[in-house]
Amino acid sequence: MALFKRYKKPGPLKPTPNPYPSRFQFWRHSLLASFILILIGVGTLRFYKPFYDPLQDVLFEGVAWLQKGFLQPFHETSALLKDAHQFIYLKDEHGRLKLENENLHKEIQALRSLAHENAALRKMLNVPSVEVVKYSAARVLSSPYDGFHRFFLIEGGQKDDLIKDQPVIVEEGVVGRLEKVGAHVARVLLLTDVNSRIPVVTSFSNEKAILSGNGSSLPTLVYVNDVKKIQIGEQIITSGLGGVFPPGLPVGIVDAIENGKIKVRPYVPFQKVEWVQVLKIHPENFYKEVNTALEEK
Amino acid sequence: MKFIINSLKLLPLFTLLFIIMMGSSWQIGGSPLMPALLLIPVYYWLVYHPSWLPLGGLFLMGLLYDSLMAHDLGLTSFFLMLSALLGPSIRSYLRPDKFPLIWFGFGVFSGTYLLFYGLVISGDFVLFVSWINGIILYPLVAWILSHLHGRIQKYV
Repeated sequence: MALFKRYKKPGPLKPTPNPYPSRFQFWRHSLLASFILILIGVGTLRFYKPFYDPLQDVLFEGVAWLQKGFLQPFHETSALLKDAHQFIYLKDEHGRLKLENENLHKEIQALRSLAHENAALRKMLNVPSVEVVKYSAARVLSSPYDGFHRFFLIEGGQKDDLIKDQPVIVEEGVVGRLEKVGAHVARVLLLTDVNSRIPVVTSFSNEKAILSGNGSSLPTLVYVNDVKKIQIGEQIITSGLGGVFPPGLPVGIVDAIENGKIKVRPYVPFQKVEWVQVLKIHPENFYKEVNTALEEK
Repeated sequence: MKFIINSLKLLPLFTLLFIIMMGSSWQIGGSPLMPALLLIPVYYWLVYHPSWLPLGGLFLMGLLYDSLMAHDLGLTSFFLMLSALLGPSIRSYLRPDKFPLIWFGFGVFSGTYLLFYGLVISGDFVLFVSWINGIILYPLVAWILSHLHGRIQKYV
């Protein structure tokens, strides 16, 4: 047996031999015929709503769970490594948390007296009480991004009473809103997505505007009355117009103003987000109110 | 045994599935890797073993991708199937020992794919429809021009 085989220079790529000897088999596997058949069949069904919509829902749910299955081992490994790291620094962490706990206790004491005072003053002035918004925490499954669209797939859906267009936030600020809600998973439209529009207001100049996503990491402010009034570094918060986002939620800061284009840097570090909170507001008149706000402009 | 061997032929589709599921969130310096990353296994298998990449499988992978990226269902399926359809005709120009040539081929393939993909996704259908209309009208206009050309040729 020869130890070394002589290297044979490969020739040009040849068509692979036909693995289907019979004519029927050949036709069945003929590329063009299959292509045309699939195109006609699917193209027809695409415009048949009773078929297309349920298929879209089933695929959305199925793909999210399939992706969860793929990513689970990596998430678990990452969690394990994080736990190991925390275990090493357990003593330091304990000390830090103890200090934080003491500080929070002091803050709660101070806030309690303020809350009482606030309630008493509200009663005296006959101001209606502020509605407490309920929220639901959900884990981020993945964050698909293809340069145009940017989403979070989250583990929560209709079973958690989530509905379309509810706002999604984290500790740092606004993340976006629910764009599609399945039975167990939901899709969050991030504020940087090209389809995202959020009514906002600037903190110092008090200019109302719409924060418009453009696919990049810096969304822009549109429908601004006076661009000259806005300064770099100014905080952007939700205006409350539109009925989806409650007023006063932090969104970002003005990063740059170039040729009248105001770029905003969001507070939320989208790549690091693992958990989000969905505010359980019922955005019934969302589109109607946004239109009214735009008309006023 | 035959079943195991046959199931091994699903490897190309599995590589596609793996990349769709794992790579949809990957970024380098804030720029997404998708959809160019998806095209690497498609191109590889179309060049080296197209019969392992059935149209039905590509259609399904396209559906999964569209569903994940919230596109209109069938858009990526159409582009992937079209690539599979045109793949064999381009294949004969490539040589397996010339890696730079195959690499260059990928550049052309992915560039063309992303150009059309970008046009459709960004909503600039006007340009896309204009391109299709141009292709449809070409024979008619070319026929008229060839007649004019023939008539002029007699005198010039």
